[in-house]
Amino acid sequence: MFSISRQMRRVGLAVVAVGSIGLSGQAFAQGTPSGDTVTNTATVNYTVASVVQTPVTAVNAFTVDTVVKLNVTGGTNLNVTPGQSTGVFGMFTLTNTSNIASNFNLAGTNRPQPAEDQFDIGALDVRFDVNNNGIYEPGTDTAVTSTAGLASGASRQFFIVGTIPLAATNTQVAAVRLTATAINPATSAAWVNDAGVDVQGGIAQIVVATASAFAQDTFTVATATLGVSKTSTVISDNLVPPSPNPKAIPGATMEYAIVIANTGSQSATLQSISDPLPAATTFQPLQYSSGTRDVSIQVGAAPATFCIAEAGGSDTNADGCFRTGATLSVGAPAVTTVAASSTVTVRFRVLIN
Amino acid sequence: MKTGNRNFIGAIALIASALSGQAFAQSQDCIVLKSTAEIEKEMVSDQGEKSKSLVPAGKVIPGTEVVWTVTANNVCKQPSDKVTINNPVPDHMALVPNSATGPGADITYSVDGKSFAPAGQLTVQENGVTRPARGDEYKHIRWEFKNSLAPGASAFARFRAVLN
Repeated sequence: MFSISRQMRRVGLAVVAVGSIGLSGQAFAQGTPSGDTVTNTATVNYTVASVVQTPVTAVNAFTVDTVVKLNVTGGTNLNVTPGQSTGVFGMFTLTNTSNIASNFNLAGTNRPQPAEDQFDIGALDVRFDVNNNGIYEPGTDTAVTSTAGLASGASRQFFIVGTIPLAATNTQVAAVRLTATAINPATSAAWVNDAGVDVQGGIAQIVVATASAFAQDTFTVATATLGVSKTSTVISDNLVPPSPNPKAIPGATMEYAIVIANTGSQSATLQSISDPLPAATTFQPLQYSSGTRDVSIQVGAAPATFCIAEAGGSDTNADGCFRTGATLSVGAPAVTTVAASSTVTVRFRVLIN
Repeated sequence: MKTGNRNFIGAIALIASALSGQAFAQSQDCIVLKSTAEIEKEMVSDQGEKSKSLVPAGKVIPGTEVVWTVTANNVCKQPSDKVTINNPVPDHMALVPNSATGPGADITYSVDGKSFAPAGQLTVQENGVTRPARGDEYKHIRWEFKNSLAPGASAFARFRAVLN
């Protein structure tokens, strides 16, 4: 690229430094905009036979070309429950790191099993965070397949939303991906790398550094998993004197222990535990707490609490326990929840008929 | 940019000034100054040997390093003395520290365009505190050639800058 030699006709003192000094301009976060001209101005001062000569200036310039780049960030995890259909969303941020405004196509996808995760979310949709508040609002945040006019250096937030299958189980993970592809607003098609001869000036040429980018979010099922087991122990054969190793003979007292274990990662709210007493047994009241209570309840490692299991089908003292015929019911406030990785044990005694 | 037309126009301008010089007894410029923008490309020969060469800067995008070269050619019959080239770092570019070269020249820099000093001796103010200026903060470069530039000889100055 050859320069133009220009004369600077100045009378008097030679000028030392001329040209594009100026104050430092705007700092462009994503680089100098496409199409800007960058100019170099060189000046030479000299003397001939001790006579100061008119300074000579050389100027040359180039046009800043277009570079297309983008990135997508995600990486969030949301804990969900099986069958959850609201509030299931993962957030993503798309940033246009080109030095020119661009449009972008958006695609949301489930990742495959078993290679990458354990289940797919249902009704997968990509939504634009219209008010940029990081919260998915179904009425406000519209479903989109693209976004337009994203300025150089600017970002927008999007969600992938969906539903969790009822069959998903505790600790299972679903991974979802948002892929963005840069689209040239002038052609409404993907930006095309300029394969032509390099030109120093004129119209900005296109360099596609990154054509598309993606990020992933996960949904992890965190739910309670309950198991129930029932054991029995002979407390006494009630003989006189009682046998050291009592057997389950008529007249013996048996203790039943119902253990509800939560092996999940979320606490479970119990509504009620019902246990029909076996035939040929009779409920034995007042076996606990120095002969004042009917049922013992132990929550985790806490000391046992007790209740009265009134006959007649109604919990008259509202302590959570009562009997309806041969069925024992235990509920709130005696038992309310089983914490994650914990147990609740209900004990009561019967007489073998 | 059509370089062919530029050359043609440049040639016309020089001829015109030379003619006007003869007519009005004005002296022509003794130094012809040129500035070029190039990038360094790594080439691999057929034998797999790598080498670097300078080619005209074509697709320049943020992050590209541009090599600017200024040549001063003495086209008169007398020597030119006290030849000094001044070149502000172009807007939107950051000087690559220690990249300025120029055989036979003392090279100094300036941050404000007024006071010049060798590399490492300039300071800037930041939040009211004075600290040494970094190489990429130098905004002007000056080459002062120590020897006369003989008739027909060329002085040569070069620096590198990265496009912001």
